Amino acid sequence: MIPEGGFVLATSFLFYLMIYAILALSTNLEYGYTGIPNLGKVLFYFVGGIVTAVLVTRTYDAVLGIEDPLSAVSAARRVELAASDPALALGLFAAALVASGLVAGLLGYLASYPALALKGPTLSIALLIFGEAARVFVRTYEPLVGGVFGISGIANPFVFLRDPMATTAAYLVTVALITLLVLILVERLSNSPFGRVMKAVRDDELAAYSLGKDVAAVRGRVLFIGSGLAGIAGSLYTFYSQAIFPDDFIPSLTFFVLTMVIVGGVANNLGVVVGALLMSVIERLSQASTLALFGIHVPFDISYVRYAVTGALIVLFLLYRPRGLIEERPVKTPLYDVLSEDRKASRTASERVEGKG
Amino acid sequence: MIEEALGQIPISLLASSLYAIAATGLTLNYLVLRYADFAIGEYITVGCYVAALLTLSGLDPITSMLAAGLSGAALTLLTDELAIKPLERRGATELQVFIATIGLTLLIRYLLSIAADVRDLLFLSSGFRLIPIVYVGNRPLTNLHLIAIASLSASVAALTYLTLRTKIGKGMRAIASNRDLAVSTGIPVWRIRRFTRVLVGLFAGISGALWAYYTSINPESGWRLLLWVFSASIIGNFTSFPLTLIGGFVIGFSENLGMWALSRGLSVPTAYKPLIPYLAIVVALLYRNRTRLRAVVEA
Repeated sequence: MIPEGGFVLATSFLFYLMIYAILALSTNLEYGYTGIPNLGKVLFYFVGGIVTAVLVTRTYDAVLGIEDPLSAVSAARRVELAASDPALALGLFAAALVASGLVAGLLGYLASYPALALKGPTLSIALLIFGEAARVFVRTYEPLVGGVFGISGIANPFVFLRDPMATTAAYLVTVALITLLVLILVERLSNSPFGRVMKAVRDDELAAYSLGKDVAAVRGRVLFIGSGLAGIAGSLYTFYSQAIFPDDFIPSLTFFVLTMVIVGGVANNLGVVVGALLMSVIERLSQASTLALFGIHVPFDISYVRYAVTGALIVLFLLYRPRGLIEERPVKTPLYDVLSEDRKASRTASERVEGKG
Repeated sequence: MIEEALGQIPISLLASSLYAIAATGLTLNYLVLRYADFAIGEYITVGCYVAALLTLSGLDPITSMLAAGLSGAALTLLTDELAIKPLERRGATELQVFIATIGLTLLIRYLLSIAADVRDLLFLSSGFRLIPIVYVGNRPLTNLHLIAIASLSASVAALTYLTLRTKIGKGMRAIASNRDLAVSTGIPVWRIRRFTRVLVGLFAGISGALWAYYTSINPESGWRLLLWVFSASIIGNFTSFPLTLIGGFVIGFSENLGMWALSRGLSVPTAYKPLIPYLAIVVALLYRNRTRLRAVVEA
């Protein structure tokens, strides 16, 4: 039997690892493959969380006839309803995932509209600023999701299992399956002809344009997919914490995820998962609670070290290993396989001829 | 009513000057060095701390402000020489350089945070004493407001003089308009680059000092100001100094006078104050996009 503390530590580590992996994969599509520095990643993650919180709490409140959605009693009643009605809870979970992905994705598509004309750092800074604007708005406007104190009682879909450990385990397996699905989807997408177009837009916009590729449309599509994935991650996070607090969604998270891409491997999906793993470990090691386990105490807030290390890693990797730990590979479309088979065959044929000659 | 509206003018002027000074440096950096320096917020923070600590130790505010500017300049030179130049020599793209400045931002901010935490300086007020000079509406115009406006005027005058009348300023303009041509005509590109960095750091440090004199500071002060400073430069499209200055004033006035008008006129809660400058950016972006789009359609 696993001790409960160990179970909580392990599941929370795994959960965050998977959320980071999804966010890093979506950042990789934008930054790694297409060269879009979306510094507003946390905005789309946040939007996914808000859509989920609103959809879930409003539905339960409508069923229960709750008048004061922010009170602790209402939150408990929502969780109780979810526990007694698994079909409703699971249905809402699925609906929230889809809605979060779509709303965040559409927002990302909208954000790509100025990308058509704006050059340089303007778009990425604007996205960063909009992310902060959204946070300021949500933490002030209470009717949406309870303002600065947030809203709780966003019941985990598996709360009907009644046992907290079983609920967490079931949820973790679900999130793992979704993460795996995202990884497969992103890997297939990047090894398709569209993957080649993304890299073309990144490497030489003008060349891609002159070959008849609609650069703006490609960026729009990539931002739709990338933001949609971030929205799904936000939704998964909200069901995990069963509450939403606007101040969880700060720009540092965007930079933290970006570091995973830069360290793990730019335009390499396996690489960014490794990057996510590495940064998750660094995150855990730079927590006061983890250090206390080893009897280490420092005279300052240890989380500062995490961000300083993040910054140093960005600079050092860009300087000494700009491709990241695992390097980018050629796009493997079906045609690529056929052509490389052909080349191999012709090479062996010519070698045979030369050998005879 | 009128009294209150007028009372918003001093603080609007102070904020505008501060944003405009730092944003001028940011725009200058982008024009000459071809990258937006995200770490400008951290140069401002360093300026804040230097000015606050020096005034607390009894130095007069003007000298402290200059020292803050110089420390900003030292930091800008250091980051450019140690990180950005080697990156560019290794053939980094514009995007990679920009991301590297984000890395520098995090590194500087949190090293500073650690140092401040160890010495118990996470919240610090400077030794600057506000002296009311004249009342504008219901609020006083103080010596700080005059210092802010004088600093802005001096910065703009210095930059104008340098770019229009000196050889090094001519070189800066040459690099801004065509770097390759500037290199091939023998303009000392690296020397001018260092000179530009010194100016950027000076401006950032001075605006940091102004902020430290105005309110209490912490290691995130520069980060809070960074978004406003970038907003001013976005309004200036990172290329136009007059528009950047106007941007600084648009942000400073909309945040204070504009917010006051909204809260009095439409009873909008003042907690939304940070959103006003964001609105200014959206309008600027849409407006710019509109003109660009029309150019695309007509071409």
